[in-house]
This record gives sequence, C-alpha cells and structure tokens, in this order.
Amino acid sequence: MQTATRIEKEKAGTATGSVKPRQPWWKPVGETVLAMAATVFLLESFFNFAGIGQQEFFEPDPLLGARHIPSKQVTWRMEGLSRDSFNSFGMRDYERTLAKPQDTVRVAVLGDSGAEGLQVPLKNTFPIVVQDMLNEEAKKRGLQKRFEVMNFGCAGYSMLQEILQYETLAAKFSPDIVVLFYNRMDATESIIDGSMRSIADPKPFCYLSPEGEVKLDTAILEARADELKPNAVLDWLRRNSRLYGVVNQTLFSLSINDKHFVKWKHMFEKGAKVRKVAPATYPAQNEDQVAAKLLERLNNDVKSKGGRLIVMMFPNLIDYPDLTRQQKLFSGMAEAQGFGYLDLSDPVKNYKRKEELLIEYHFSTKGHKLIADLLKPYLQ
Amino acid sequence: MLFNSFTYMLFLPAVVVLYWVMPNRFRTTLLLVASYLFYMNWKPAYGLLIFALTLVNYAIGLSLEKFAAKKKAILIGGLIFNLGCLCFFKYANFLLESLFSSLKGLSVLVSHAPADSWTSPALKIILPLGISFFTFEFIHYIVDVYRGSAAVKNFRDFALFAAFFPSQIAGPIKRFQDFTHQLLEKPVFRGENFREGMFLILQGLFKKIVLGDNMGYVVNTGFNHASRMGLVDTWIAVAGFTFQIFFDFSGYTDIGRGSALLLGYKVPENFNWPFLAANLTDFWRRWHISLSTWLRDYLFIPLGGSRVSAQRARFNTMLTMVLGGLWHGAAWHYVIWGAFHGTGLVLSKEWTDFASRHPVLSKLRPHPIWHWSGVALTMLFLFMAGILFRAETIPQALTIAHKLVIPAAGGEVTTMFLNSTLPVSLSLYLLYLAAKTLIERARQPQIHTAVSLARRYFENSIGTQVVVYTGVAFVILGFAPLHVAPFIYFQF
Repeated sequence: MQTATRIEKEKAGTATGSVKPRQPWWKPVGETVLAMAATVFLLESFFNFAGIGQQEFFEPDPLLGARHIPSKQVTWRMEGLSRDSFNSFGMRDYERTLAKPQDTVRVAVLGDSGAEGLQVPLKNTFPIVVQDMLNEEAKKRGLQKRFEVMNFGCAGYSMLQEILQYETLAAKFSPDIVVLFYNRMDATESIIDGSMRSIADPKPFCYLSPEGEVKLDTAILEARADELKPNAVLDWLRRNSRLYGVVNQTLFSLSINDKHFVKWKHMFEKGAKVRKVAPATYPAQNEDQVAAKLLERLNNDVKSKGGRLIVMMFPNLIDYPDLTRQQKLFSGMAEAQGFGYLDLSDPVKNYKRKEELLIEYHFSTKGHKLIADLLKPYLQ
Repeated sequence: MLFNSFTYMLFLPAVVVLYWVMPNRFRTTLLLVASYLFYMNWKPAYGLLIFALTLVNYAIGLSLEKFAAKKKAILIGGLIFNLGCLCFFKYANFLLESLFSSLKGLSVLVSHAPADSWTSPALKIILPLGISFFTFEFIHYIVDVYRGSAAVKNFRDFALFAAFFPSQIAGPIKRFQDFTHQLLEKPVFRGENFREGMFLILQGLFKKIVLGDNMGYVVNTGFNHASRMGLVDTWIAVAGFTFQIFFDFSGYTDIGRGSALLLGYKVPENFNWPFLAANLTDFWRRWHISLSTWLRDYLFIPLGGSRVSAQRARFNTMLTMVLGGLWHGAAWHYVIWGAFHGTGLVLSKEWTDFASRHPVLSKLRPHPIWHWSGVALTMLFLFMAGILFRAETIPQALTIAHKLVIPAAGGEVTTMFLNSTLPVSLSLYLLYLAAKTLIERARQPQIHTAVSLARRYFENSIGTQVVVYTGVAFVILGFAPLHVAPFIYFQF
C-alpha cells in the first residue's frame, strides 16, 4: 500500500516537475566510486605521460635510513630536468651485473646529489660520460679492456652513509677503483650534536671511540624504527603511484613555504608521538677528525680488496672555511696514505663561463662533462 | 593572506560554511570580521589603517549628502585626504629619492662635491597591501555621492564594501552601487553559484600556480641574467612575462570572483580575452577592465575625454595613461610604461581614423587579415611594453630590447622553458580554451544535447562533483612549482 502511494507521488511529482524521483542508495554511491576510479586512472596516466609526481624516489632502509627505490622511474624538475629509471639495485645508472665481466675495469663512484646528478639526463652524468670516453679510447687503441663506471651517488647522503653504501652494496660489484666525490657538509652530516637527536632524520651517525676507532651511533634509527619498517601499502604507493608522489611533493612544498602549515604540522606531530632517543654516550665530535678516520677506513677497505681510492673534492667556489680545511686535510692524507686526490675548485673557478657549469647548486651537463674530462686521466 | 596559500584553503571553506549556516542577520558581520582577519594576517597594525580610511570616507559620504552647499569643498578635502594617504605610503620615497638624485647630480656638477657624501633620505614606510585599490574605491565612492548617488548609511555595509576579502588586495575595483545592492538582497544558497565559484577558483589556481608561477621562473632567469640571453631566450622571456602577468592577475581575479560566488556575491569581471584585441583601445577594454573603466570615469572624462579638440584629447589620453602607469608602482619605468601605452593609444587612434578615411585602406579593413594583423601588432606592442614594466631599471630594459633584435648565443632560458612543465600545461590550457570555444560556438544540436546531458548529470551528482574538483586540484598540485610566489599585483 505504502509502495503504491510512493509510486503515485513520484509519478505526480514527475508530471508536475516539482519532485524528483528518489534514486536507490547504491546508484549515487556507485557513480561516485566509478567517477573516482576513472579519475584515478586518468590522472595516473596523464601524470605518467607528463612526468608529474615522479620525484618520490626514496624508501626507508634500516641501516642507511633511506635508499633509492630500485627500478623507480624518476622525473626530476626541481632543478634542471631528467627522466630516467634507477637500475634494479637502486643505482642512478644503467643495469649492471654483480659479477664483473672479463677484461673490465670497474669504477664505483660514491657521493651525494652531486654524483647522483638528477639535474641532468643519466647519459650526461659524469660517470657515464667518463665511461663512454674511456671505452671510446680503448676501442680506438684496439684494446680488449672495457670500463664500467658505476654510480652509487644518492642525494643527502653523508660521508658515513657513502662509506656504508660502499660496504653494503658497491663492494659486491668488485670495483677496481673507488671514487669518493666529497661534498661540503658530508663530514658534518656524519655526526650529530646532542641537542639535535630528537629531531634528526632517521639515519646512521658515527663517533670516535677513545681508541680512535669509528663507531656507529644507531640510536636515532632505533628510536624511529617504526618509520623504517616495511609497509606493504605505502611501499607499493611509493613505487607505483604518481598521485602519492604529488601528495608528498605538496607536503614538502608546504613545509618550506607556509609558516602556518609548519606550525600545524609541529602541533600535530607533538600531539601524535614524542620520540625518545637514547642520549649520546660520547663527547661532542670534531668533524675533521671523524672525516679523517672515515676516509682512512674506506681507503684501507678498498686497498684490502685490491682496489684504489680517489677522493674528488667538490669545488670550493666561495672559500668556505670548513671545506678549505678539509681540502688541506684530505690532500695531506692522500700523499701520506697513497690514494688519489682531485680537487675541482681551480678548474671550475678558472673556467671561462663558469656560470654555465652549475644549474643552481648542482652541475649542469657542461659541468658533468668538465668533471669527466678531469677524472679521466685518474682512471686510465 | 595569499589566495594560493594553505591558510586560505582552510580559511575560505570555514567562512563559507559558517556564512551559510548562520542566520542572515549575522552574515554581513561575519564577512566583515573575516575580511579584517584576512587582511590582518599580513600585518595586524595595518588593519587599523584600513579601518581609519573607511571611517573617514564613510563620514565624507554622509557629509556630502548633509552639507550640500559645501559639497565641492568636502569632495576636494576627501580627494586630498585619499590621494594624500596614497602618496604618503606609496610615493613619498619615490619623490624623495627622485629629488635627492636630482640635487645630488646638480651638486656634483656645480661644486664637484663627492657623490658619496650624500645619504639617502628614504623613509621607513611599508606599503599597505592593496592601498591603491582601496583608495580608488574610496575616490569612486565620494565622487559618485558628490554626483548624486545616495551615500551608504549603514557603516557595517560600507566597511564590508571596502574590506570584502575576495576583492580586497588587488581588485577588481568594485562600484559601491553594485555591491551594496547585493547586500540588501537576502542571500540564498544556489547550486549553480557554488559550482561556478568552484570552477572559477580552480581555474584561477591553475592560471596562477601552474602557468603563471612556472612562467615566472623562466622569466626571472631571463631578466635577472639579461646579458647572458640569446635571441630566442629573450623572446621567450619577454613574451613569457606578458603571459605571466596575465595568468597571475586573471588567476587572482578568478579566485576572488569564485570565492565571492561561494558567498553568493558577484564581483565584476576584469579580463575579456585581452590577447585577442585588434588594437590598443580594444585591449584596454579587455584588460584590467575595472581599472580602465575607473580611469575613464574618474580621470579621462573629467579631463574632457575625447569630446574636445584633437590636441587636447591626445593630451588627456597621455595624462590618463601616465597616471595609470604611476598607479602601478612608484618607479620611473612604470611612468615610462604608462607613457608608452599613451603614445600607443594615440597612434592607434590616429591610424584607425586615417585608415577609415583612406579609399584603399578602408576597403581592406573588413578583411580577416587586417584584423589578425592588428592582433599580432598589438601583441608585439604589449611585449615591448612588458619589458618596461618588468625591467627594474631603464638600462636593463634597453639591454633586453637590444637583445630582441641582435642574434647572440645563449640557450639557458630556452632550455629552462623546454625542461619545465610549461609545454604540457600550456597545451592543456589551450586545449581547454579550444574545447570551451568549440562547444559554445557549435551549431550542431547533437553537441548541445550531449553537453546539456553531461551538465545535468554533473549538477545532480554531488559525488561526481567532489571527485572532479579533487581531480583538478591534483592536477594543479602536480604541476605546482616548489616555491609559492605572491601575486604580482599585490605590490601595487
């Protein structure tokens, strides 16, 4: 009876145009779900075509704090432009085999964003450019010898992380030569001040024991272990979703642009969880002493595996006191301990149009080419 | 508060929701409080300044009505007050610096005194945001009341007219008759207003963030390193600036108009396809319409307009444009920019008159080639004027103008443009404009039926609306540059 009345009312409403026929509940829900699915599909496809939301390339790592996502396609636009994929080991490099091919000289390049070179296409990064130059020359001279210059550079890595990257990954490729591309702050970022422990990024730090040995400080990694645990959903989104990349990019942009957002974020984080990091059990560290010990450790490690170390210094264009100190320290160590040393400061300073060598903070294609030219004689 | 900030994205929905759930009698007060919060978010003390200006102009309006015999004196007093405030905050340092530079030059020339013995007399004045827009709205108000319009009796309504946040900082310059008329009507929530408002806000954000801000990076690189630019670089930077300012300003206007519509208010349109103008007169009818009509009504026509001798009409045009240039900013390059536009307008009018009288040219005029040549030439003129507007100094403007015609090696700006998201986002925008125009002009009834069906479906499905708005927001966020840039017209 009730149903009949409702139908009559609806009929009457339709006829006069005053009352809309009532829809079953599932219809608008279904339409919304369909619209959502179509929008997600369209956006993901469009972003993939346009290279949007592909600047997310880190995943958590229990030892290093963060590492490149293996095989991840990255479109980098924050400075310069590149559109390439990491290899299956998470290196900004072409695909490589773990086993060293015959008659091949392998070079492993360690470093931070300066070596990683996301600002230029992969083929224009100095490891690839110098590799091509060396192979071209070997071919011309009719030699069987081949060169593989492998890039282990990763943005934001400290000197300690670069060395751990060598020990945990690069060494497996049996490199004959290891190039450490030292950037300013690489040593400073390897140690941590007591007051910063509760707000530091989750990554390893180090200190010198009373005996002068390098010791790892993993307290911050341990305190934030929950953030570094694998999470199936987040890991999948990080690897595959451009929309997820856009969200993270937006949050990052807001955190550097909007003071109100930062205030709200801090309030939210404070309310969410207070992290307790174990206090430091060692005195304040001297960055130069730590850097010297780290370098000594790397050199000994490389030598013990039959390799040779070359330290390449980032150009000190405005004579930073810390970098000037470290230039002296490392060149003295190179002489005393027998490793190679290449300082890019003078060649860059003396370059005729040096503004062309850098985009903003990182090397342009011309800059990478210059590094390759300078590095080549050290690898031959 | 910036329209493109996180804070505004929280502020606007909060105001809109409160506004519509609140009883009607509190709504004007709510908007007034929200507008002052919006303004004082930047510099709380300057909220008091705007309040004081509002109070004085409200009193002037009432006095003009009450003391009809002395209304001319009151009007002159009001104009002096408003222009005095504007001059103090905006032009005091410009006048002092100009005077100082002249005296310094004269002294060095006459007495050979060392130039560095002179210290700059600049005052420490922070320009209140939007003061040029506020002042023009106040002048319009007192002039119109002087001319016979009824003064606003309710102070709250007048204060809201002055401070209404969607048009507070950079216009459009409202007319109080239109605005207060809307205040009298009881606002009713309408779905179509809401949808149009959302559409305008998203369109404005796309123009501002995706196109304007990304273009800004390219343009800044060019103008900041003018000596390093090649020929193609210079053309990209110069053309880029003209489009940057359009996307920036029309984006701002769209967001403002959209925000007003969400509250049930209509704010005037400021742009009407300005780059399709076939001559400069046409351009100024389509660009920053609220300013150009203000200049016409309160400066050009009172000067005599064009119903005077040809010589005087030319002078009126020049003076209006020079003052219009100076309104934009206290710097000589703005004055020269205004004079450049004034000269262009005079020449454009002379040419149009000549062509209409000429036996051959008058026959060519209806031809589409004539029209599109006019569009191209107007565009070229705007590029040149843009150099004067954007360059920080006259020598920099000259360097850039020189580089437009002299082939030189470069490539930095070109690479930057090609590496940016602009080729994709500009194509997307052009595609959108083309689709919109084609649909509007389509003659086939099937197309109209399909569009109206899609529209009806969209109007009836709130879920789909939410999904589509979110999708467009994602596109904007995806293409957004890392750093947020303020609106260019905020500095005026």
